[in-house]
This record gives sequence, structure tokens and C-alpha cells, in this order.
Amino acid sequence: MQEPSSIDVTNSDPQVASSLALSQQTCLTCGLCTSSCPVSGVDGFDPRKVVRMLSLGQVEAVVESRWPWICTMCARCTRVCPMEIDIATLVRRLRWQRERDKVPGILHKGVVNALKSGNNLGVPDDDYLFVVEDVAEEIAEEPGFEGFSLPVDKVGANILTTVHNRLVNTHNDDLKHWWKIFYAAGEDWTIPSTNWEGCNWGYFTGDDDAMRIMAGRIADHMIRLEVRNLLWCE
Amino acid sequence: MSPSMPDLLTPDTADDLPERILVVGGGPCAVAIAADLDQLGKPVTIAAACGPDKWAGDPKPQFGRRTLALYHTQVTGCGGNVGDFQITLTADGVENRRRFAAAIIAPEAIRRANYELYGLRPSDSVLCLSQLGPLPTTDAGTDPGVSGVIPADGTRRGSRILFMTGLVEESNPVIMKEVILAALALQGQADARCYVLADNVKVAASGMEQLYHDSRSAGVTYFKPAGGLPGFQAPSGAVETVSFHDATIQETVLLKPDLVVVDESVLPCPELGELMRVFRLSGGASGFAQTGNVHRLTVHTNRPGIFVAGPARQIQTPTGQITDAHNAALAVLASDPAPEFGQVAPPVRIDADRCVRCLTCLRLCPYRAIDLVDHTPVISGACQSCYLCSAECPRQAIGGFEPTESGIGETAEPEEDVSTLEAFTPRLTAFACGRSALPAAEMAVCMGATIPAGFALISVPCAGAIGLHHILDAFRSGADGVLLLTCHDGNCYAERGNRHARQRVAYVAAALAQMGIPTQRISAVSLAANMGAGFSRCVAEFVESIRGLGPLK
Repeated sequence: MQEPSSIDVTNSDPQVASSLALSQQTCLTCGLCTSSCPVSGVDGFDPRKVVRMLSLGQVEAVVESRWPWICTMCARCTRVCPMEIDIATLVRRLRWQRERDKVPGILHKGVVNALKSGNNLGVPDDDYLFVVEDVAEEIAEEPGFEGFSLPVDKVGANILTTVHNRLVNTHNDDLKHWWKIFYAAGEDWTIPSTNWEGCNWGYFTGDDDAMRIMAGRIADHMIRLEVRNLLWCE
Repeated sequence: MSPSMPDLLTPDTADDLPERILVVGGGPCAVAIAADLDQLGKPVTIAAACGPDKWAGDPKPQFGRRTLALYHTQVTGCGGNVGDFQITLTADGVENRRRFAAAIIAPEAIRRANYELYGLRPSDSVLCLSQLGPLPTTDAGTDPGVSGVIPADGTRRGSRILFMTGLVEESNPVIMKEVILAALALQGQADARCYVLADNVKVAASGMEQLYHDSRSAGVTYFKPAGGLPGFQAPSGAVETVSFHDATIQETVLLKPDLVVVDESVLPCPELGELMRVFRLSGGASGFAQTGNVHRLTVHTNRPGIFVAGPARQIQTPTGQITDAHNAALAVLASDPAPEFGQVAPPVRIDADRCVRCLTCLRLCPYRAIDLVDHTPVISGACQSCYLCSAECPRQAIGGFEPTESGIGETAEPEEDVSTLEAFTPRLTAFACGRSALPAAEMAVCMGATIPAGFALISVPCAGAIGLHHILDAFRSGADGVLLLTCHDGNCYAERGNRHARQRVAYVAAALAQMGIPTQRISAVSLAANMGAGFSRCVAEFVESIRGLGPLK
């Protein structure tokens, strides 16, 4: 953040922060959040400063700064705050306040991809199916796993599991771990054939709508395939 | 006061003692005291410096049948002593002397607007608290009701208002409450934007935490400026921009208020200094009529029979002042005129034959308990047997007290001749103040400490009662070291007995030095009654120090 030389609060409305679910009256500026934060001091960031700026009505200054994106979302601040201010959620709401094309890195692009194609990398469904079948064949060649087969869209399975985009793209071998455990345990499981992404970047960008849509897709699978248990490993 | 009016100075006989009680003050506290006493059947005279129209608080106080109210009246003299004071009341230049059983001093405090303190001048846009208008009278949190702070013509609506309080001097809950109530009313009802610049937000009074919280909920913003007063840009008297450092953001914050409101300090009224002089009371640095001395509980002063209450002793909240009024009425009526004093020594006696009327005792008595009757000093009922006079009397004409061993922590063989022990065990005499060092010693023994062999602990009513002859006697009797144990500065029961003790120690030390004797053999240490560990430490250090010096030859 460009450290401002001074902050004029004359025209700031402290109540504007209430839209972010921060009631400016609660913070005591005790500093427990600052001491608990693993990235306090990076770029002059600390959670107490953020809360204080908001309670002075300085929302825009914070939104435009790097501060909300330096936060690791570990929520230690929330846990230690004696006034029970949910600082981590506050930071996430601040992320949402930023224009989407100014969201840092590939985070928002991933969200756009996921909404359009069902996964963050935009991998087409038939490419996905090709890859996962290929991996299944490799498993079946391993000693002890000769009977392995990959259940896709299996109705009435006990467990539905999501898939991480990277495992389909480059780290295919890492798909094998869970699948071999299922097989060895004799588990009745399945993966979906579409909208299989478990990695919900709307969480990082503060995008509740995107989160809702992607979570909704998984819920739809559960309903459609009549599966009772969800293993949402990311 | 002249002794040429023998009819007022006749010795007291039981039915000759006055009953009437004097209350000095012109406000709710004084009225409450008078009301209590009246209810309890006591005749009261209220002496107020103001007129009936200027009475603080209730414009028309109701007085009981036995209460006499005197307006435009000042106390200009006080003679006599507890149970029989001869007090001069002056109104319109006319003096009247009256006898009273006791006096209670409770004048109202005054308020000073703190413009100068903050480097500002009053103007249209710089006001003080009282100028804002009548504050809400209820303590209701979010709805204080429309009050005078919100003018009917809407001039303050939507304004940015900066309150300044407790920035150079500490604020207090009474002033803080007014600031918060005003800010809450303006923010909540007049759509104003209120900011409070305060060093410490004083919430140590009933309901204040909630009030503070409510004001923040309403949107009042609080700043604690780091590093002294904020900077003002005030081109033409009107404050344009205020800047200060916010320690949380670590930035300079700027604010352009429409109105600045400075707070007020609560100060003793001008008459109080004169009253303290007339009644010969010890006062605090604040100018109020009570010091921080721990022995002066509630309304008591260094003078039995003279009490201070309410605003005169910095009780600032209205409820606190009424409670103090009750305290004062009870204190006056207690059968023992000064119960908290408690006698720790026999009564003082002046030998009239040895006395040369130098009046040293009269001047130094902390309780003003010595009066002059027919050119002869007389000990009155106010005497607390501190024996400061006895130690100072150049003719040693004051007696009644001789220091004796305290008996605390006696070993199994107190008669042991320590000079026969192989290692050098110092013979030490410690004169311990009965109100601080002695309880500390008892506490130490209770906690398992032992008084070392050869250590004689002598109880005295006040360390200031130890005269030079006591100290020299101790050395002559074979002490290798002498210790005077006093109360802490400001907490001597006899006001300044600890200072007397220290001066005597310094005097003896200088004499020892001239004789080539190490000055560490005489020492004064201050203690408090709860310092058991402190007592043990002090004894151990002194023993070590004298042991290092060896026996006194």
C-alpha cells in the first residue's frame, strides 16, 4: 500500500463499514489480532490497522491496497479477538469489494473458467474422461489391483468424491492414492463425469455467488446420483 | 482569636458544651448534610458564601426547623477545639462569634473551561462543555432525549463536532459523562458527526461502560492522539484543521471540524484555600481539602471535629456527594469524636513548671490540639498522643510516654548476653512506628520470620516522638546501631512525624561523623503496615550493615 502521508477523516462515514459486518464500536484496538497474525508487518499490514481504517470509514483505501490479499485467511485473528470480531471474514468481504479485473493473479480467471467449463483450467469433459480412464488402466496393471475399475456417475454409491484440477492436468499420478484406498477398503464410490472441480476459488476472491454455483453443482450430483456421503478433497 | 473573652473560654462542663453543628457550603452536599443532621435532631447552621438566589443545584433548598441558613457569609476565624469550637462568621463586614460542637466543610467545586490548556480561544466555533447547552438528564443509552445541546433552529444538524477532553490533564468520569452524553445526543439525534479526542476515556463510574459503548454504536469516533496536543491550523480564531497521530494506523489523521468543544476541569472553589487556612487543615497539592494520607478515612481531617465532605474532597459525582453527606453526618454523630484515630499511647502531659511558653508544641501539633489558656499551653481533647511535641520540647517539659520493648518475636532467651556469642552479633535498637512498622513486624513474624538475637524492637506512637535523648540513650546503653522505622512520606498519621524522625536521624548522623563514627549506625527507613517482607528485608540489611562495621566502641 502506498503509505499515505495523512488520512483526512472529515468526510468519512464510520457507519459505512457496517455494510461489511463490522460494527465500529466493538474494536478495542487491543492488538491481539496483530500479535497472532503470521503476516503482520508485511507491507505495513496488520489486522488491527485494517479494522481501525474501516471504523474511520476508510474502506476504499483498504480495498485498493494489497492488504486484503496479503492475509493468509488463517483466521487466527478471529479466534483470539476478545470482542469476537470476525476479521478473517471481514478481509474476505474486502476482497469482494475490488473490481474483478483487478483481482490479483489468476484467481478470478480461474473462477470464470470454472463457471463456464466446470473446472478452473477449462479442461473439456471428454479430455477429463480420457485422462481418468487412462489412470484407471494404470492402476489395474499394478499387482494387487488387477480388478480395479473406475466408477463414473455411479447411481447409489456410498461416497462421491471431487477432483482437483491439477490432478487432471499435470499430476495425474496423484489421483491414484485415494482411488487405491477405496479399492483396498472395498468402498462403493464414484466420481462425476462433469463439473468435477473441488477447488472453489470463489473462496479466495470473496465471490460468494461463484461459490454458491460451484457448490450447487456438487450438491446436484449428490441428488442426481443418490449418493449419501461427500468426500470433498481439494 | 484573642484570649480576652473569658466567657467563651471557660472550661467545658457537660451542660455547657454547644450542640450546634456548622456546615460550610452552598450546594446539594451541604443541604444533604444539614437534612441528615436535622432528621437526627441536631441543630445546624449552614454558612454559604453565595446568596439564596445563587444556590448551586436546587434553587430553593428546603431546610429543617432547627437549621439556620446564613447567606453571603464567610468563616473568618476558628478557635477552640473538638467539642467546643469558637467560630467567627462574617457577613457584610459584621463579625459574629458562635460556638459549635463540630464543623463540616463542603463548599461546591468550580469548573474551568480548558481553552488555554489546549492552546485555543473561545469563539463561535470553539465552545466549552457548559456552553453547549443543558445536557440530557436521563442516563438512557441510545435515546437520551432531545436536550439543549441540539438547538431548535437546527444549526448543529449534520455538523462535524470535535470534543477534546483529558489531553493535558487527566479527565474524570463526571466530565467524561457529559462529553459522551453530548456526543451521543448530537450523533444520534441531530445527524452530527462527533469525534472525541481523549487521552484516557474515564469510565470508572456507574453506567459509563455502557454509555461509552452506546456512543460508539451510534457512530461516535474516539481518537487517542499520540505525542501530546494535536496540531491546529486556526487562521482566524476558527479552527480549520486538526491533525494528530493515530497510533493504531501509524499515520497522521486530519479532521476539519465545524465545531470544537473543549472540556472543563473541576477545581476547588477560591474560598476553600481560605477555609483550610482558618481551620488549619492540611491540604493536598490539588488544592482540595484532603491529602492522600491513608489514615484520613472518608471525611476525616487532621483535626478531630472538623470534617470535609463532597466536592471539597474531590467527590465529583452527584450521587457520590450525597453519599459523602451521609458519611459526614454519621462521622459528626459518632460518640468518639475521632474513632478512626485510636489511642496508641497514654495522654500527653505538660509540666507547667518546666514549660517556658515557647509555643513550639502549639505550632507543631499536627492536630492543633494545643490551645493557649491564660498564657499556658493546654492539651485539648483533640490530642492523639503522637508525642511529636514531647520530642521537640526544648525543656523536655512534656511527658507521659516512655518507649518500651514491643514484645514482638521474643526469642526463648531474651536476656541472653549477646556479647558472649562467638561471632559478633550486633545489638540493635529499632524504634518502630505503631501504625506502620509494628504491624509490619507482626506480619513478618506471622509469616515465619524471626527477630534476630540482639535486636530490640520498641513500639512508639510515631517515629517523630523519638527525641535526640532517646537515640543517644540507646547508644549509651550499648546499641551498635539504631533504626527509626517510619510511615511513608505523605502517609504519616501525625502528618509530618516521619519528617521529624528523618531530620533527627540526619542530625545524629552528622554528630556521629564529627566523632569519627560511621554514619550507617543510625538510619531511618519507611514502611507500611502491610510490608511484612519489607520489614524482614530492612532488618536483615541493617544487621548485615552493622555486622560489617563491628561493635561500637
